[in-house]
Amino acid sequence: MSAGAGTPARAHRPAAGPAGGDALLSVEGLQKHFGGLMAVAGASFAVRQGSITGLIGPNGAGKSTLFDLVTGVTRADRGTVRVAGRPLTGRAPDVIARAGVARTFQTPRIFPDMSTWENLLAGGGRHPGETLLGGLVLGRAARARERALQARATELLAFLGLERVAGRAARELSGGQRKLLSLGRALMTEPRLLMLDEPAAGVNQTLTRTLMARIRDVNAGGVTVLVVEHDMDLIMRLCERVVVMHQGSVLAEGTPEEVQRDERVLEAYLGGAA
Amino acid sequence: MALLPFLVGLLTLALIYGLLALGLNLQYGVTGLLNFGHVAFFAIGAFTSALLTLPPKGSAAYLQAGAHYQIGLGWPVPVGFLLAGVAGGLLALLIGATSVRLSSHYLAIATFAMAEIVRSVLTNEDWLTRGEFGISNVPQPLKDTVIPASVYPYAYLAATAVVVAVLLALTVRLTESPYGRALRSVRDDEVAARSLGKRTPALKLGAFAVGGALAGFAGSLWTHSLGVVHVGQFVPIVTFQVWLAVLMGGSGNAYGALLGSLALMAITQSTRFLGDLPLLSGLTRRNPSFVPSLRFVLIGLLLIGVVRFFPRGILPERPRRPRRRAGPGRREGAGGEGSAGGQDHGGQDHGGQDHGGEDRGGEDRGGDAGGGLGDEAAGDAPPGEAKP
Repeated sequence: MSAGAGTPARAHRPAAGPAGGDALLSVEGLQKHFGGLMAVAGASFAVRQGSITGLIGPNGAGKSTLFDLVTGVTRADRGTVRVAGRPLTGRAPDVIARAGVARTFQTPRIFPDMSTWENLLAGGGRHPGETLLGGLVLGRAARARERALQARATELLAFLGLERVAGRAARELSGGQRKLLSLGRALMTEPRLLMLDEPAAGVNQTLTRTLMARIRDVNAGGVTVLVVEHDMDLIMRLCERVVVMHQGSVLAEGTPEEVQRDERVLEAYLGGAA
Repeated sequence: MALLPFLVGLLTLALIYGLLALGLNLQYGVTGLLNFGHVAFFAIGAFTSALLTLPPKGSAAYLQAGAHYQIGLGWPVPVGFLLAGVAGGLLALLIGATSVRLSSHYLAIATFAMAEIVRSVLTNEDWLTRGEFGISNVPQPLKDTVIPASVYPYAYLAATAVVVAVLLALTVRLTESPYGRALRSVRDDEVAARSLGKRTPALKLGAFAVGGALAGFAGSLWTHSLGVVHVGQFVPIVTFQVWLAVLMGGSGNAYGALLGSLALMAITQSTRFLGDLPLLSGLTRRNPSFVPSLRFVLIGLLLIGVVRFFPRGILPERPRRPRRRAGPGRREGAGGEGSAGGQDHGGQDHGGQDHGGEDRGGEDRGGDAGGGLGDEAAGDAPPGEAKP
């Protein structure tokens, strides 16, 4: 299983970026305000190459906005984002995605009228058949790429347990299946950095355990993971590093144990934000 | 009224509208672009083709026809046809480059306004278009020289059918390719598509331009079928009729677009018999524009009814299923075998797509637009076996 999930990631295991030593993602002084609200107020942190890093914080701490800023869905007012040392601040979401950053959304954004199967295939990039002429001509390179993507999608269907619904329109999937599908679709892009926004929210416990196992498998295959989650238990068991956000900035950063002992973190969760 | 000529006229018109619907289906049905100015591409195609093929001013044919237009290049009709598509595509590219990034409703407004601008320009630049008078001796290829006028409508219908079949086959090939899949991902969720690395602005622009080109081709077919072109033909109701065809036929399904056009023409053309109904004949005598006006009402009501009660249409788009070529174990041993299969069917690939193109009605296989790419098994199999 894990071998299957890891195949593409091994294909382009990046060298350690120049900035921050072994940081795959480094965020410096990121700021964003909406009107009078400072959603992200100068957040700085790094995600180590090969790690599973958790991003936690009370509601409204700016986690999802931070995701949007890193992936280019929202443009930052200030600050820099680097992936493997390459500055990507202010670039369009598709450019950032092609640089190896894949994400899921808090509410899964599936392609509702396409089948599960097509949803997965649509995740595949670098496709010579995805241009107007390339699609019409469908040359040898395009057909080869399509076969590779279909093989990969077949693996992922099994990996995520979605085989039975492969031919169904994605709008017919359950909430949990949608989460799995958006995870699979993100993996189809063969990312170096996978950013998951609350992958377990609204998912039952059995499926959550499956999901955690899958995330570990993906990580073992060489993909760095950054995960936002409210389920503390999940974060503490899954992550080797945890970044705590509060009121738009990074409050603490460390191993799960360090973070759990941190007075300020307890304060933020129990005192200030309660 | 003789039934056969009526049917031939209806089918020709249905095919031409089918081509318009094919274009709009690519833009809206496949890519999700709300284009409410489709008639502009139709108009540009019609005028381009007419002006390029008209006999030059001062020529014998010009004098004989007693014509008054300024520009006629006397080029062959096939050239006019191709350039009509190019003109439609270029106009779409021009409009799209400025407005395709707009989100849905804004694009709808921008395209509607664009079509009105195009119509005003065509009306007012009467040195070029003869404005409201129009140009009435647009060449009808081979008429009277090779094909006698008595059978000309039949010949024109046959030629139109071939042209539309070829364009349908190409369009289906495109929508069933990875490109088409990327377009559908933009339609379903543009933010998600972009976050997967899709160049969504370019994808939208491409689909918009190809849709405009198809409408341009339709304009050429239309103007040469009538032998007349004037700006009054290109009013907003044309756009809405094409919308009705796409929605009624099944948005997202090219065969549905054609079927919807056929249904549309059957409905709108049969309204001309409404005046014969005993109930309505009295009203018609007093007011000759009563029945034509009723047609507009009917189209409006149908559009509302379809959207409200029948939004997926006659031939809904079906989700594309994975193909079971060999079992799940295929991947381990079959690498070499798979690629060999892919190569030797390379030539066949096209044949596999074409058989669908002949079937203009699309009744039986329209919903099965899920054929597609990487479909070695279906490509090699005889047409009938391609269905799941």
